[in-house]
Amino acid sequence: MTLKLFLLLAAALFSVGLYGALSQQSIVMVMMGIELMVNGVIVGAAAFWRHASPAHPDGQVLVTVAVTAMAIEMAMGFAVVTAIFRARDVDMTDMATDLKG
Amino acid sequence: MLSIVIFLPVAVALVLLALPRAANRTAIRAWVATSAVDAVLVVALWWRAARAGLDGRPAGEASLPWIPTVGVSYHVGLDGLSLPLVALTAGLFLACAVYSLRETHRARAFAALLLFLETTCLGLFAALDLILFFVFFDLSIVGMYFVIAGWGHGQPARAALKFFLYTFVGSLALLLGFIGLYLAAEPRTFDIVELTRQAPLAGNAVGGTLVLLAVAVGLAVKTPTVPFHTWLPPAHTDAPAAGSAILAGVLLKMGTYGFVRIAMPILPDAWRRFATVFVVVGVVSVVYGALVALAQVNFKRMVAYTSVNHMGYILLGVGTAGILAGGGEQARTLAVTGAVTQMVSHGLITGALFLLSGILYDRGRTYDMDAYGGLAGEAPAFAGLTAVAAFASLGIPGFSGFIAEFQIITGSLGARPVATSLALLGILITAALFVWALQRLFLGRRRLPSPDAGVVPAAATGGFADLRPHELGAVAPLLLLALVIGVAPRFLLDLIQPAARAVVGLIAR
Amino acid sequence: MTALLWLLVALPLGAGAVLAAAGRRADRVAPAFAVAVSVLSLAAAGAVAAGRPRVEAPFLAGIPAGLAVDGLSAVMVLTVTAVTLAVLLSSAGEVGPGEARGRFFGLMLLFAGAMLVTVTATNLVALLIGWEVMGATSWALIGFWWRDPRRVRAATIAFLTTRAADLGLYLAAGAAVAGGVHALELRRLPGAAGPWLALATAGIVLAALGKSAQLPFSFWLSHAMQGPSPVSALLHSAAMVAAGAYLLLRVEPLLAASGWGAPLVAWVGAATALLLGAVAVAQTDLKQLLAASTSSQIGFMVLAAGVGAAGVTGGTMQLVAHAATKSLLFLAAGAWLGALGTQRLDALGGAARRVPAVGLTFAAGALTLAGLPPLSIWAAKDQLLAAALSRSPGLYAAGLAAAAVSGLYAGKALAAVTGQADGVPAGAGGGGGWPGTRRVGAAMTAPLVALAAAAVALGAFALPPVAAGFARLLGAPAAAPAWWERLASAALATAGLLLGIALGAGRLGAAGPAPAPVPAPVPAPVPAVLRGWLAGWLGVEGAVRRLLVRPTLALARGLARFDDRVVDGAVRGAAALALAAARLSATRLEPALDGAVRAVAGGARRLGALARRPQTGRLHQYYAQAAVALAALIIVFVLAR
Repeated sequence: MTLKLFLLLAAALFSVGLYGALSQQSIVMVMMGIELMVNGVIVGAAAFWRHASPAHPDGQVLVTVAVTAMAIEMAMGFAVVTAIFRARDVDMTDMATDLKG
Repeated sequence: MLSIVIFLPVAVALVLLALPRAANRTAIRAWVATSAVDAVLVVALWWRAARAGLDGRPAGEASLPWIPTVGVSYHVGLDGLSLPLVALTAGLFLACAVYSLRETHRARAFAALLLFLETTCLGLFAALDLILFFVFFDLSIVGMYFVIAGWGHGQPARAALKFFLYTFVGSLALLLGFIGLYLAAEPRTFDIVELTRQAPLAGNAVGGTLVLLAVAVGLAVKTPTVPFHTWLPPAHTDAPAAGSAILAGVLLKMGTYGFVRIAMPILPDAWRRFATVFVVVGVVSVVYGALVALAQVNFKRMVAYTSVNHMGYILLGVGTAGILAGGGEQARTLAVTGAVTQMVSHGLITGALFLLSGILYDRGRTYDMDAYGGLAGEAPAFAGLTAVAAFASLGIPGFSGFIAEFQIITGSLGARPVATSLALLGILITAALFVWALQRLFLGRRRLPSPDAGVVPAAATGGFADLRPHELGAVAPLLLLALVIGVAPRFLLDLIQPAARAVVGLIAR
Repeated sequence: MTALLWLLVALPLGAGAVLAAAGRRADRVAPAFAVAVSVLSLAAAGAVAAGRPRVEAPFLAGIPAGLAVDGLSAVMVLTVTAVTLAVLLSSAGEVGPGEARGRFFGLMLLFAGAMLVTVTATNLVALLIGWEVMGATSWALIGFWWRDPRRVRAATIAFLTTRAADLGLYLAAGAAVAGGVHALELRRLPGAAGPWLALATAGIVLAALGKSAQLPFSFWLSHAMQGPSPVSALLHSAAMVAAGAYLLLRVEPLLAASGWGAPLVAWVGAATALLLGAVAVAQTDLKQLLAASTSSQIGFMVLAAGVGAAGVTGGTMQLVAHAATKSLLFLAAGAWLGALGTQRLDALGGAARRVPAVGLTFAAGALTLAGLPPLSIWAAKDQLLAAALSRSPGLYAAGLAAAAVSGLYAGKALAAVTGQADGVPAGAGGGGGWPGTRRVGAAMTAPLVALAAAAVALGAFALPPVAAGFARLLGAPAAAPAWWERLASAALATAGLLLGIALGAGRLGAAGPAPAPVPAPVPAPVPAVLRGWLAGWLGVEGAVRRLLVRPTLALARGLARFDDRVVDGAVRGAAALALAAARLSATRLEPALDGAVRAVAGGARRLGALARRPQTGRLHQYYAQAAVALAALIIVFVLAR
């Protein structure tokens, strides 16, 4: 289980998530892509902690923060999606252009 | 006391303006009273100066810091050059006040404006600081603009505007020169006495030339000399009588006074180098002014051009004072004394002539000499007084004009004989033009101006009324003073001569 | 004594000024007042002539105003005051109550005072003062009847001509200052330095010739005859015209010192005496004849001033003699003008018999004027011609010729007034005069008698003791004319007189009782052209008018147009230029500048619009933009390392 393998996994997860976020039209699918990107970051952070300084708790904290952030962000995101769907029957990103400048 | 003399008139003017319900007569009477008080105070100053002797220190000197960071102070004082001019100003304003005793058109504003003008004139002659001089210079232009525009006739707005813009541009050139002087002085100051002592641009040929050019152009526009004189005829012709008298008698002297007070003492080096230029300009003004006056049919315009002629003599005198070779110190002192005497003399006599032309206009509503004839039968006192004024103006001995012109010519002939001989022609031409004018107006067959489209002059209906008491009381003292100076000039020359000698000495440094 | 000298000049000047200023109000008291003042002046003149005082008052710097009475001034002062008294006395009777007597007598007194200043002046400034005031008052006096435009024009011509000549005195004063002459004193003028001496001489000569109506300035005297006869009697015989001669006599040392001054003056004087004598012969008007003869007689005085110190004696004698004679003749002419209403020679026939007193005195005057022995002018002429002979025979010859000519015109005048009466009604021709003085009263005849007596009595000048005494008084040597000189001049004068009488009588005698409508031509061998030229006073005035006056007026008008069009045009052009520049700025420059600012603002707005394009509101596009930006940043970061 070398670091390289874990980083490869993290990169793969991140790339897939990036591709998903960029190419998906459905808001839920974009969020799933974001989740994958965050997961990739978590994996990478955990792998760095394990191989760089396992004695210190800094990496664990980082992972915990990332998981927490992911959870909150998920909740917020789905709340917004639900609200927009209820209000306007919209679930594609292209239909929610209120912030157009 | 000098500051009281200077600022009393404007203080009374402010009071007059603050009283909205003051009647016309009250306003003019207040004006007369103020001018009289001022005149008495000036006489007192003269008496004190004559008794104590001026011995180098200015009389009535006062000095207060005003803008210390640029060396500007409220510095006033009178010496042998300015005291006669201050007396002339006081006397002439008093005469104009008496002349205007029957003025009805917006008399309150008129009186206030002329009182303000009196302050600016007195202040200028008393000023011993360049910026103070400049401030009064410009304020006098402003005051005279309103006099011409508000109470003039003919085309007053146009004439006033031309006068204002032309002399104002001249004053800007003057300011440029003053700033040049300031920058060259070490330590930097605008004080005239200090600058005279320093003579800042003494060795500096280029700087001295440029500054003298700026100052001379500014003063030449005011004097006025040929070719900067064309604002004068319309301004005089269209101004009211009292305004013309002040314009000719006092305002023109500001230019020539500037030459003897500022240009000559502070820039002796440059003055000596360009003295011939001033002589030439003076002679050209003399001959040109006389010739153009000869061709006029408008009486007031003719007198205006004779002013150009008379001012030319002054320039001739001060010019030759800068030519050290060919004339002794006595000759140069004579020339400068004559120049200052001419300032006083011209003020009195031409002021009287303009008041008389105002009487002519008042009766006949025209200045055209060919419209009149044989007036000596209708108005003998008016004819006699005008004849006296005309002869005084052309330089008959017995009057101050002769004293002035004789001194200038005898003082200048040694240094520049050819130029002075040409200037003599001016004496002949002015004699011709004045005698011809008298002939056309007063002698010969009786003729009065005919009524013009709607304007019926009083003359056509009821004849030409002779002098009224207030008119006589205004003009006669001026001519009497000219006579006194002509017969017994010592009281004036004792004041001017030492100052003239000092100026000549300053130029020769 | 010094106070008396001041009084001598101040009294007439002050009294004259008061009278002239009072004008009509003083009409009643003016004659008596004026005569009283002139009597006092005469007394003062006598006193100062005896006492010879000298006064000075501070005037200009280093140049006081000085008066002094020496021998020459004493003679002049007495002459002037005496003639003034005679003329004023005559005028008191002649000038009626309706005339402006206050102005007349005031001006006459002013003139007399100015003349007294002139003859007692010690330096150029006092001289110039008196000189000019004389000129000014003479204008007012010649133009006394100012309602007549012709007379006013004449006064102006006279005034301007003399004023033009007066410029010479200004030149001389300036030259004196430059030449270092102390206090501009007349007696120190020969000591002026270098070229200033020549200039001073030239100036004084010019002024004197102009004032004395010598060639080429003679024509103004012709016009001056338009004034009243008393004015001519005082100004144009004894006073103003004599002032020029006096000045030349006074500065004779200067003329000698300059080298060229004396000969010039002498020859001008001789030429004037001769030519103007001929002009006098050709005149048809009595006053014009007398005027030309005045110029001619003064020519003798001017000649005398140019022949050295000995000439001063003769010249002064001539001055006094001529003063008495000519003022007498003018007063008589004035009396006849008033009584008969004419001054034309051909209309004055029988005038001598009409008013015997005037006729007798006129005859005495005419004989004296002719230069007949033993009368005063003959004696004086002999003196000055003797001095001329010692200098130059040519001058002497010219002087003799002129003396003969003076006999001619005197004879002509005499013949005119003693000839037959033509029955010409009074008032014909000539014209002008005091209205209503048909009678010649005692006030007018008494002065005539006194003057005639003086003219005759001064023939004593011919006696050697008197001449020597007079010369001693003047401080000059006396020339002693030889017996043949006296004989020559007497013979010529007599011949001239007889010829003149014949000339004058020839015109009237044969015509018969009926007056000829046109006077018969003079039976003299003189071509008409020459006669016309002489009668027209040598045509100098026409030349002056063509060559000086008209060009000057044309130049004046041209300069006035130049001033209005070019000089003022330049100012107006500058103003128009400023307005055009303002309009250009407002219509072209300002929109351009403003357009640039607006373009900048437009560009900014377009940039802003451009910046809004990426904000599509589509979330995934925002992510795409963020990813691209991040990738670019990483590349830059990697490369910049």
